[in-house]
Amino acid sequence: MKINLILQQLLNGISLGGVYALMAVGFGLIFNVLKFSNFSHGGVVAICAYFGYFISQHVYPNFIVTLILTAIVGGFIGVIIEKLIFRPIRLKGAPLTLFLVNSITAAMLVQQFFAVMWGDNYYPYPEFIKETAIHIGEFTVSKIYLLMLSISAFVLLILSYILRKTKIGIAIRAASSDIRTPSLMGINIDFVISTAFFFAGILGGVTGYLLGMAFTVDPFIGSMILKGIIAAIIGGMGSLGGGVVAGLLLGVAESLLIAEIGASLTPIVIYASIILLLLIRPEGISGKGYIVKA
Amino acid sequence: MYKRIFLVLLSLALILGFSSALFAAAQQEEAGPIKIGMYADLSAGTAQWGTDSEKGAKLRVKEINEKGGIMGRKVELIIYDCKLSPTEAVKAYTRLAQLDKVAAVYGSLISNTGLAVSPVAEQLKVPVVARAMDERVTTPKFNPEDPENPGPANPYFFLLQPSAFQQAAMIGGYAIDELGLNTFAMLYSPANAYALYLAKGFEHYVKKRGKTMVGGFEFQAGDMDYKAQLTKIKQLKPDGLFICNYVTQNANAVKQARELGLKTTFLGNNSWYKPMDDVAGSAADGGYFPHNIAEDDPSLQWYFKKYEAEYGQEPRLHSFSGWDDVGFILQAIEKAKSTDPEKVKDAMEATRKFEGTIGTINIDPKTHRPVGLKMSILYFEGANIKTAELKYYPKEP
Repeated sequence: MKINLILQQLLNGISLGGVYALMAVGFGLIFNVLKFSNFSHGGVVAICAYFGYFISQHVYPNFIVTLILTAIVGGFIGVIIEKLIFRPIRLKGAPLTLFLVNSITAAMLVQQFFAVMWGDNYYPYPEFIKETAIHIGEFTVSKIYLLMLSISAFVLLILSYILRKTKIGIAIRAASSDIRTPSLMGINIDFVISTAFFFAGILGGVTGYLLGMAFTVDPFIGSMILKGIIAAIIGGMGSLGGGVVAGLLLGVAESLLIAEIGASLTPIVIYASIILLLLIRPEGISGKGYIVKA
Repeated sequence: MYKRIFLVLLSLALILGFSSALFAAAQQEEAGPIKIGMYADLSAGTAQWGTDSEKGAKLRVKEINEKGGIMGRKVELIIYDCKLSPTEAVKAYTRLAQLDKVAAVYGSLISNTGLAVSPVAEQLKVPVVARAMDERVTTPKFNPEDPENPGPANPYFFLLQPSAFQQAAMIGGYAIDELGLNTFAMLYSPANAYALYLAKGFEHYVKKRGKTMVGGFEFQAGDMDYKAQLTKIKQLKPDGLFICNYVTQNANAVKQARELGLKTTFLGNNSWYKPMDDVAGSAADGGYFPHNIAEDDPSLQWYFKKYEAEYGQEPRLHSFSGWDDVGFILQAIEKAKSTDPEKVKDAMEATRKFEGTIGTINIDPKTHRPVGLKMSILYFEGANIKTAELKYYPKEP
């Protein structure tokens, strides 16, 4: 490959990786606290993609306003999902497998609901950005992707500040290392978990909105979460920073591989590499301790 | 002893009762409505097409019933959702054939479901009429390397529009003869049988015409970002890029191609029709594609009016399919003067000059596909679909 072609593919990959990173962090946050793979995050993404469409197309066509609104709604959907389907089984002391089952079922429920209710049409977002790409010399960067990358970075920075410096953030981190002890020390663990879901929901909301804008909203838009989960696994389950790095790496690897060996072989190479990586380094690239998970 | 006699009598009574009930049911079936089946994607990624085809089909049945039905009987359309799933499609077809005992089935529009149902239809022997364009649905032994010898047709499966290879030749022919393009690339999902066979057909046609295929680029089902492939294509600088998938994928592809600054002529498939204009917007500008109908075709305005009056919206791609395909089935039943699936199948095979909204359909008994059916060539001017040629047929098919 020519060097400028490789550079262009790197740019493509980093922008795509930004989306994966955003999903990996939303997914990893819940994994951190409750130690299960939360597939229902894909459901939040899908609901918010539709919600963002509705607000921006029919209520108030302003990019920033609708983005913030969608993010907040995403947060509350996260809280509702936690209250409805995870809290009851957590209070009963159900095994982790049940959490996993519930999260998959919730994701499928959302998907089918949208398929039946609004599957008979496509929902394009308004064109917020007229010229959709920036051209620098012979390189092209998509504005939407750049926006995704910067919004992802911004949201992740805020999140890491909250997790490190605020009381609730520290409580979430405490709950991540051991969910029982903080409650013995007077921390309201229900509230901590709700808050974690709220933050994850915000990330889901932003993801759904940006995906909806970059692509077209359909009931299966949440299934892209699988790439985020892969990134979270490579990054080291539960390590948020590792998820971001792995998301970007995955995006770049995909772009370069698709260009070189084609889209059919790419997943084979990527999945085989992940298995190899986890065999050699089960804690993922972040190097955090390996934890039992569902 | 008495107990035994009682048991024998009871069994006799039961058998008698059961058979008379069956007889009554059979009699009722003779006199009751004519049942035809339909399985369509009413809730899945292709639900827009499924629900549109359902609307067209229902409209046809409604009109027939308002005129008193056929052969003095009303028509009943039994519909199941197959959710874009080959397994669900087989289940729905089996149920229609065995439990509902329909005379014929209007199948889903999708080639992947058609591929799954085709061998089952050969066993259960209830004819299916569909839009599944992949050649293997109607001629199971079709070899894309040797399209001139398609092999025997599945006796129970019929296609009511040009097949994948035929449609690929339409747009290929137009691109070469009318647009003067010489080099081509393709972007498609091989997991989608329809896209795969369009791509195979296009490559075959381009090579047959002595032109150059610089590369066929694949993407995986579920992928939404094709920038890696498009960056490669940009480097190869083909005159034309054939993008032949479903609506959202086509829209994502043209949007991303525009962002990357590709300066090639887009060539599309029939999925470029509405609602592609809404989804892709002006990114599709300058793209050409073949389609069964054109909106400005004066001979179709009656259908636009009828459909809009019924549903309050304009007909889209498959609103026409539903109307035509159910009409084709009902005409075959009338000709066969029977609801026996075997006789209906024979009548379908013998159908010549069926007047559909998409043109006059002559079924080739060898392939069970229409022969010589023309298509409209449409193009995008900004975000609007315009007609380039109302009735087109390639000079070299």
